[in-house]
Amino acid sequence: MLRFGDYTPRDSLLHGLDARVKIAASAILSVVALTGGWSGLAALTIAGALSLRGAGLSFKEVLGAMKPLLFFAFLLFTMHAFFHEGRPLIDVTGAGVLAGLYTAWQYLALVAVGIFLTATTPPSELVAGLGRLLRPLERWGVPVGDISFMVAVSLRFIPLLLGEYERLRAARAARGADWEGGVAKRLGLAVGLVIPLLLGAFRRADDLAVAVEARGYGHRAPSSLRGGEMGSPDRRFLAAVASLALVVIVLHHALPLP
Amino acid sequence: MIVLEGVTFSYDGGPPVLKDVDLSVGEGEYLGLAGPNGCGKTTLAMHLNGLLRPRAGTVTVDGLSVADPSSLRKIRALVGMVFQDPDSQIVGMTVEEDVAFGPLNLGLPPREVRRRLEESLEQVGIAHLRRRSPHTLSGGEKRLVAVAGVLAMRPRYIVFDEPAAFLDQAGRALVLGVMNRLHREGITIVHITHDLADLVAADRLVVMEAGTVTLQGPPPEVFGALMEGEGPLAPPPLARLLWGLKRDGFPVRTDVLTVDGARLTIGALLGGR
Repeated sequence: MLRFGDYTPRDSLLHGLDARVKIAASAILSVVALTGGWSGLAALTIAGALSLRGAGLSFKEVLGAMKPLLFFAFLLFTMHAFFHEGRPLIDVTGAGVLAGLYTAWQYLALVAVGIFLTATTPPSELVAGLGRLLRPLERWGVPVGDISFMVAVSLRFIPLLLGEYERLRAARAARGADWEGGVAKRLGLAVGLVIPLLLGAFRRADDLAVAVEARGYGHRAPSSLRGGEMGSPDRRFLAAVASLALVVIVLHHALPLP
Repeated sequence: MIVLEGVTFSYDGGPPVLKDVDLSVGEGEYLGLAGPNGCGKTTLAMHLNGLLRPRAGTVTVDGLSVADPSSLRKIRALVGMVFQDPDSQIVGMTVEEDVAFGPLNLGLPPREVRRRLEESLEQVGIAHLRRRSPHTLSGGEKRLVAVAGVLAMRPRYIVFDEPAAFLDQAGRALVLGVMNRLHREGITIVHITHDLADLVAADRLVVMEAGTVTLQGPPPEVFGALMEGEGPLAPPPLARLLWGLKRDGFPVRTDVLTVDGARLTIGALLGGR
């Protein structure tokens, strides 16, 4: 089962593309979703459905990944349906329903873009790609390399910290801490775990700093295993996405399309 | 050759953790460094590649001084470190990425990094784990990932800090086996542990207590000296048995440290067949 934000290793066109291209394409498509109007959303949805195979994903998987987020779409819909233009409560208007549908669709389109991106790009490449896209900021003294390394290490440490949290929790439970009961009580117990958890994390961070120093980090800009140049599939994909965006947005603004 | 001369060290304002330590690690040697918890073993280890620098005394690696900042990068590549907790050492999201971390920091071109990656994975026998995420591995496997990550730097020396801690028997055998193989392939090994039984095959044994080197020599001699002394460190059971028999007047050999060796010398004593 694919969850929102999960990477799934497959052999597909999208999997093979440079992470930078996919990040840029996601940004472009998000702009389309937000500014392209009904026709833009329709075009985006059709394009998404057509490129499922190119991403090595099935319709069912994408829908499954969206499922936990459908609630928010519904929430957005009802808010707009009921409170469109500040009219009084329980006064559903046609315009309200339309606005609700539109917002919910926009939201789901953004979610779908996110699913396509994360499902086809390993987190490490995502981080590295983002780092390389932001590299120009180094000119203004932003330590982009260090920041992307920090993000990558944080991702790596999430399962470790979760494991530590479980151990601490079990140790408390073994000594009689009762995890049943009201929200306030459980919250109190969880807060009690934060401090040992943080202490553990700091100690680990210290060890890690020594370990990466021992492995030569920080003496010079590291090289990268991800080939520097984008290939022609990368360029073609980006060109396709950009022209789709251009056509949709120009049509939306130049013609009286909805 | 790593040479420590008169090394004294204390953490900020604290009492000295190392006191006037002289020690050398010869090329191709398998050096065992043992001592009770808190005797300064790990602190000493961190001097071997300049992670810590002595307050007094000198440390040189193949003639390069750790006090010289310009040679530190070279020293880090010469002396690899495998720390006690692999989870604090592994930074990659996948095994492959982690092993490539060091060579990438050396600024090597991608092709060379890939070659070293393949070789290191093969050398410790974890090529099949390459795409796995570190948190899904067993303790022994994680330790091997840490070793592969160090090997990819092509070190001449590798320092192992408690490499067998928290491992089950299979994990221990796996890790110690890889260490022996690396030694046979010509890498100098410094093996730090509180458990002398892991060091019976070492070329030389160094015992530390309270920040100083108290004994050194071939393992059988050191075990013998430990039998005489009253220190906190006891020789492994087999050595205690043989030295005990000898003390009781039986003419057993005390320079054998394996179960088979002990069986032979005791068997001979019993007038074996």
